[in-house]
Amino acid sequence: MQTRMIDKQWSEKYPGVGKGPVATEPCISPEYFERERELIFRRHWLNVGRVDEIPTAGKYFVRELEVCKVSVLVVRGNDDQVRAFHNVCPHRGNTLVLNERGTCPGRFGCGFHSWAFTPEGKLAFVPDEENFFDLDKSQYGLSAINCEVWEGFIFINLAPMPKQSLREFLGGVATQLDNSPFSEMKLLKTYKVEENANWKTGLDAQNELYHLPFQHRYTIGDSFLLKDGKYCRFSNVNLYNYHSVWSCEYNPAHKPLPTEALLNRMDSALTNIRFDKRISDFDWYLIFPNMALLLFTGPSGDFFMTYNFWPLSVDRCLWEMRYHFPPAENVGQRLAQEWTIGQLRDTLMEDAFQHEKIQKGLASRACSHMVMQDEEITIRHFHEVLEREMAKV
Amino acid sequence: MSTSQLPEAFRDLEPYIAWSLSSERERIAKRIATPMDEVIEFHGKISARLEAIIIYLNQYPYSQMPEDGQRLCDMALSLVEISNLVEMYKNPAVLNMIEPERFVPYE
Repeated sequence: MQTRMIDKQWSEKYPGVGKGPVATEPCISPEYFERERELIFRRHWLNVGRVDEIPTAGKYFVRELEVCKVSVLVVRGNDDQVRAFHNVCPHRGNTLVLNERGTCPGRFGCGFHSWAFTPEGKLAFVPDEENFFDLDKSQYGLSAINCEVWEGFIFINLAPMPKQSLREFLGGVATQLDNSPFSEMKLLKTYKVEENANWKTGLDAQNELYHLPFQHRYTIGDSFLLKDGKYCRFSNVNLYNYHSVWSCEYNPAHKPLPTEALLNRMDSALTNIRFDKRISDFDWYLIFPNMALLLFTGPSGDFFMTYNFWPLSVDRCLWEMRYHFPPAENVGQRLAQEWTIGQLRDTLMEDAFQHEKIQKGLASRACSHMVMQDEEITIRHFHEVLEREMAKV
Repeated sequence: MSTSQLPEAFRDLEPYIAWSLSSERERIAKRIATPMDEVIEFHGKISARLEAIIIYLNQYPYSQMPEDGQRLCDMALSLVEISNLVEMYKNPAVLNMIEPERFVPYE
């Protein structure tokens, strides 16, 4: 056991992080939200997906970043490079691709006047080209968006000139997780829920385990190691320049349910792809501003999840949850994976319910601030980073 | 309905063929639409055979399942879908969760 069941250990490790109240205004203020659009979402690297969503040349997906009023087309070119473009025809501004995902049939054709673009973003064909006035086709390719890939995670940056590379931005997270076997796991399931909650209300609620034995008492309340069997204690916390990670250990006294126990004892259910760089049984990374990366070890093998909280308005967000598992080789593995997915899904459905109730309470302005304890240090850190970035005009 | 849709050794599960659903969306809809006593009956019958189902279906690579085996696998996935209702929640759903139709699965 690595968990130290002592109080206030994380503020001792990171004395620079405050202990005072955290303002609720950023979760309810329309004015703050308008500034976040520019200062957070147009200036930082944002995870939009993984390369295994577009495994071969010509495959693409489109993400609607409502917070920036931008539609992003992410496509793998014939040269195997992953690029991001504004999903806009440069002729007259029409939306170019209408499908959420697919394979480019050689060219992306605009529905307005059939201008056609290669998967690498070059303008390949203009109907009635001779009737234009010295049209230089090389100047009218798709408008590129900065796009970089780390360990298969695709990030975009809407700043004209990002002030740092993705690698520099990720910093200690990249150092910790470089060369992990993310690519050996495949996207098995996605859930999406539109919540009546500010994006940070949802993200903050996920960014701790203090609530686990209480809010999730009917689902996974006994899954993690708790102080005196009652209260959460992380086994580790690391704070980075932008990001953070907390870790915890599973509860060895957890009593498996009958179906869970049967699936666990089938040897066939075990896969052998492992995250060697896991810090503990369960690591929860916050990748600023709106992504979480969750590494799990499970009875049937390791897997990972991502969360992306996309703001829609000051009090609405889209929460995307993606599960990645080693590809199932047999039914034993597949059933064990589905059991794990379902168990977590029900817990996340409790969370989604809670996020909306929290937002309702915050919006009433009954409390001007939130009080946080030592096990909520990563939420504090996130809000401090947010304030720091919001102050950079 | 003279021919069985399930592998020979699992014909006794034929009365529960309506639980053989290939997508999570369908399995959730079936779970919600089924009275709890029927869910408990399905759970009892299938969980008693689950080990045998897994041993039988593990003879095939997951990506090369015959049709009757796939139906049996989909039925087992329905068991996984409802197992917590019976074994833990004792209820058709967890208390205080968001409406299932708003929490949309994509496979």
